[in-house]
Amino acid sequence: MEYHNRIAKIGLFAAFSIILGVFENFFPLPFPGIRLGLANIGILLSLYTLELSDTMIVVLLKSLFVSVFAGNLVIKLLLSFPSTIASALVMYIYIRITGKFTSPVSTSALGSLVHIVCQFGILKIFIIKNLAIYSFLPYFSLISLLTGIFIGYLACIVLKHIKVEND
Amino acid sequence: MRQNSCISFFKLLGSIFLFFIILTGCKSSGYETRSFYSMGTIVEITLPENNTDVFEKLVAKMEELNDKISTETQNINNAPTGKDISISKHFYFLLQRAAYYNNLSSGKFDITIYTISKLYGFPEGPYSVPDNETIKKHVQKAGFENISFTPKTISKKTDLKIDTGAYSKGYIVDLLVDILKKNNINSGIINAGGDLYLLGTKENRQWRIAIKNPDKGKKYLSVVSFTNKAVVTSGNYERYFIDNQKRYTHIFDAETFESVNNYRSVSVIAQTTEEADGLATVFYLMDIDEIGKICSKTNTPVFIYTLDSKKIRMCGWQKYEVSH
Amino acid sequence: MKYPTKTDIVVILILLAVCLFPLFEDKTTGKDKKLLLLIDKNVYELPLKKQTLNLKQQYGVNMIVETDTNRARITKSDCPEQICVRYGWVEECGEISVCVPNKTAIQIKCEEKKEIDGISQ
Repeated sequence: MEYHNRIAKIGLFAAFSIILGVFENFFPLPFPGIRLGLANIGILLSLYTLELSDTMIVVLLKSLFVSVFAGNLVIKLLLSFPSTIASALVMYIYIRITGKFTSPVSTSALGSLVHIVCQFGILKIFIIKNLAIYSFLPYFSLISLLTGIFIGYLACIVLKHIKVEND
Repeated sequence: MRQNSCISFFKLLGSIFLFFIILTGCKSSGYETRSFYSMGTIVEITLPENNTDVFEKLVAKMEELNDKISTETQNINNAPTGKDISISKHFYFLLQRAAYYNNLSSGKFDITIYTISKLYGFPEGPYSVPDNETIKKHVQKAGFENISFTPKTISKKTDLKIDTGAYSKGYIVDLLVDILKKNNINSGIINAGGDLYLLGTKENRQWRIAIKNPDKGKKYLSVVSFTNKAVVTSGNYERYFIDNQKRYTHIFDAETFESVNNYRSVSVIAQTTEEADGLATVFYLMDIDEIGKICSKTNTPVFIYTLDSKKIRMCGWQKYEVSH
Repeated sequence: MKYPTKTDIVVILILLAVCLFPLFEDKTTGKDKKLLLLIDKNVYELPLKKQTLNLKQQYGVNMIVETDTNRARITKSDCPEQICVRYGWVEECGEISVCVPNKTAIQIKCEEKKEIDGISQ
């Protein structure tokens, strides 16, 4: 891939993620702690069109800037950065193994699940050192599975257009 | 090349993170619990595994201390009036604490009330309500001012009986905790029939202690979590009897010389088990306002379950509560 | 690219099962319970099933214990205070009913999952 094209895509996807991530903060869902995860579209797109290292840059930018704009920087960063990295890594491995048979729909569902599980882990280790929060995990993971599928569909739609332009 | 190093950096980061998850994900209990009967209750001690010798030491020490304190109590109770009876340093400490609680409760808490409560059959039964004549006769003997003590001796002015049971159990637990610390054990629980000391934390989380709901089958009243502190509950639901529809609990007010039934239970968190134990009884005797005043002075969180089943949290109890 | 593919659907179903698994598991925690009979320094495990046990013959204490599928209680005891009989059912993890004069107690223990390390009473 051409160098400039790559840099442009990193910037584009990161900006995409950040804007959606910040935008999302203004529309809280009825359940506390649950968000649609629109910002992950950018990460999904970069996973499918860029190298892993480039994706990590998108992840880094997204985590940092969404946390800065959302306020409460330290906690947001602590929660989102490791989870986003873990979920991006898992999705990357998943695409490498099953990419020929699967679409972003299942990739996103998997990533979303890893993301919520990591967040619970961090919450438990650093913030609420109380085992009881684990009892909510199944409900949260179900919802995140649904949002993950939804985000995966959106990513599919966008990817179709990117692919066409690339050809 | 640059890209490769970048990838390996992230691979490293990822594997560290995954390792972290796996590491914290699998935990083994690694604790051992032993139960035995001592001090008129069942004692449960939980320690990290492979501390058999410490268990033995604790059991022996508990028996020894309990024997010592009850023998001394009996000696004092059986001794004639006016005679100087020598006491150990442990007993001197208990007497000092008795004076402290007596003062704190403006006379309601008094170890000499055993003169009266004994007539009802406490602490071991069988129970019955003594007749008024007998009570009147004994009331004159009771009273903390009727004992005088020095660091080495104690003497009684009247033929009274004392009982330090309200807080000596807690004191023994504290002495056992000292043994644990000396043996470099910094995690464990000593549970002497509901009087608990929590030492350190349980591997990767804090110990969690429930306050029992006297109504069977209902949720715990409260679940608390803390470190290097004790919690003790005094209730009206364990040691009591009912006569003529009146509930006689084992807690007596030294001002009225009567059994009190003020609350369903009073729980106290304090730095030492002895203090939690003593204050739980002191608070049981007081009204809510007085408890509020005292607990802010002693800085001990209190949880009260009232007779009409209301839960009252005071002096920062809620800070230690965890959801359940 | 066609989406979702068949593999997608299979993977999502597997993930769904993973999510739902803990929900079903939670409801069966009753099966992790153990009923212990503590007599002096010995610990025996009693089966959690509907029955009434007289402890006199086997264990030498004059008490009767009634067990159920997930709980147990002491129904008769020769101790003067009757604290253990009055206690009623032991059901929750860690709950214990003690008869001190006979040095006998029944206790519910739960493996690993127990959330409570002790009960103040």
